[in-house]
Amino acid sequence: MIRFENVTKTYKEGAVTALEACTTEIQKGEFVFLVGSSGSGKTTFLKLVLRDEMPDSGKIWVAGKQIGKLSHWKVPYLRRNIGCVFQDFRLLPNRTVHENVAFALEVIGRPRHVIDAQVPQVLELVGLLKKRERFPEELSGGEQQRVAIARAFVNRPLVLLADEPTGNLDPATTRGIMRLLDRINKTGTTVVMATHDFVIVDSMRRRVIELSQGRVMRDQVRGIYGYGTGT
Amino acid sequence: MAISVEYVVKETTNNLWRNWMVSLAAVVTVAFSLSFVGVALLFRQEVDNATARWQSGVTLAIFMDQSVQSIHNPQAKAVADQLGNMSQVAKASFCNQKCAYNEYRQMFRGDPTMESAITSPSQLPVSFRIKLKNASQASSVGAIFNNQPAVQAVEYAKGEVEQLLKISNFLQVASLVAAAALLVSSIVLILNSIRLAIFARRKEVEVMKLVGATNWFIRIPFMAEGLIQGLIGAVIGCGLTAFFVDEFRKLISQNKIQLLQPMTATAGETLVVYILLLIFGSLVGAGGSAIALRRFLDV
Ligand SMILES: Nc1ncnc2c1ncn2[C@@H]1O[C@H](COP(=O)(O)OP(=O)(O)O)[C@@H](O)[C@H]1O
Ligand SMILES: [Mg+2]
Repeated sequence: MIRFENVTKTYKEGAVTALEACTTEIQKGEFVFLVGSSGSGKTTFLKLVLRDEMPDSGKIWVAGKQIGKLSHWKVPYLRRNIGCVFQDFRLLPNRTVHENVAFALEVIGRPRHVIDAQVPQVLELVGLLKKRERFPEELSGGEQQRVAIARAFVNRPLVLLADEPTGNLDPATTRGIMRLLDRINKTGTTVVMATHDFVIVDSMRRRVIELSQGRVMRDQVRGIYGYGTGT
Repeated sequence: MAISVEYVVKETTNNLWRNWMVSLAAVVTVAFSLSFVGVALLFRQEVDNATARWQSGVTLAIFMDQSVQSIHNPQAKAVADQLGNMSQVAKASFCNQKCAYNEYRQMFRGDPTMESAITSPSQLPVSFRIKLKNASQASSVGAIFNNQPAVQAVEYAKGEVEQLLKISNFLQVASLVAAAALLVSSIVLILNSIRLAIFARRKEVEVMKLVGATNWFIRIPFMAEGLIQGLIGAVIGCGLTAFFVDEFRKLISQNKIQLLQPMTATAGETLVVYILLLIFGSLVGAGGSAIALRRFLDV
């Protein structure tokens, strides 16, 4: 589903190296934790998958396509296969829960009847159907993140990328979000989650890819965060 | 790319509302600059219509009486030969009854009493239109023909006409220069209002890019906004043009500028000017938003 081959990414014309000779492969349906201390390159990894950034060298495949070769106008179609969730939710404050989720379908030109059918379905999945007319500021952090997940998942993407989705949440709420991501993963969606929350990683016992200063330090099938490596 | 009309309409109206003062400034500037263009074009057309007889440097006209119907008439031939041999004459042309009739229709268009007075070319005199090498010789040349047989009258392009054409040319250039300056500011104002709309919607745009909206889908509401501002400006500009031209006509009839008495343009000519204004308006709107999108929208 996602393959990195010798990928190097630098910023500021080579002054900062974010990823260095990174090679890894993530299969369809996997749940992968991307761990590492702050600045180790996790966000950069996710941005490369999304083709928000381009690598300096190396090749990246997503859903069978080498995305470096993708022409500019095809990038939106790549992104329709990828859902994204962030630490800061990125919801639109002047739209209701329903409208926030519907927006993701509207702007890719889905017809109204499809939107009307799919939005309640996904809101049911994340447990927010009753609060669909609320605005983001009327919701707790955990609920806002559920809306963001609903928005990322409503178009049934092949891959869900989550960049420290629980970074702003308390442990109890975090567990709820993890259960939700697990449920989404069980539908066959590949989930890649960047985090430095070792409690979650250790409790889930999923594949762990550890980055350190832009290099893959460890790739473990049923991994734990790894107390030895710091953070 | 499935983009619904409903979506574009909704987003564009939202954008226009959000910064209505800025949009209004853009629309008003477009309206005024286009009204300058409109007045220049229409006024020019009307002056041309009113002074049709004196166009392209014709300074002297010799009207023959009713006994002369065409250039084949011996007395007409005599005048033509005489003109041909005169060194002061730069160019002489013959205006037959058909030509006279067309000219009459143009001059008195929109004036029903004058229009119904002449219903056929045969009611009008034929004439020679003479361009002189030196316009100051007009009266001396005219005097030669004044008492010739079959000559009914000699008419001169009065200084007034020349003065008027000069003024009209000046007005036209001046108003087009002013219009150009205003058009540039219209583009800047439209650009600015689109920039604000992009800024106000930066979060939406970020989400749109994230979930895979196509670049055109993101751009179209902003482009529509610029286009609508340009078009609304042009429509108001047409109204202003009609108003200004009307005022001009009143001014002229009050001041009894005889040569311009029938200041009219046909419905067709007016329509052409309005359509031009609408085209200019959309171009200004599209141009302003294109620049804004290029500079401020990273898609
Ligand atoms: N846009 C950017 N410009 C310059 N440097 C950047 C940029 N984004 C990230 N970096 C640098 O690249 C390195 C990796 O950053 P990042 O991928 O954000 O790591 P993480 O998400 O693991 O904290 C860091 O040193 C960071 O400072
Ligand atoms: Mg990060």
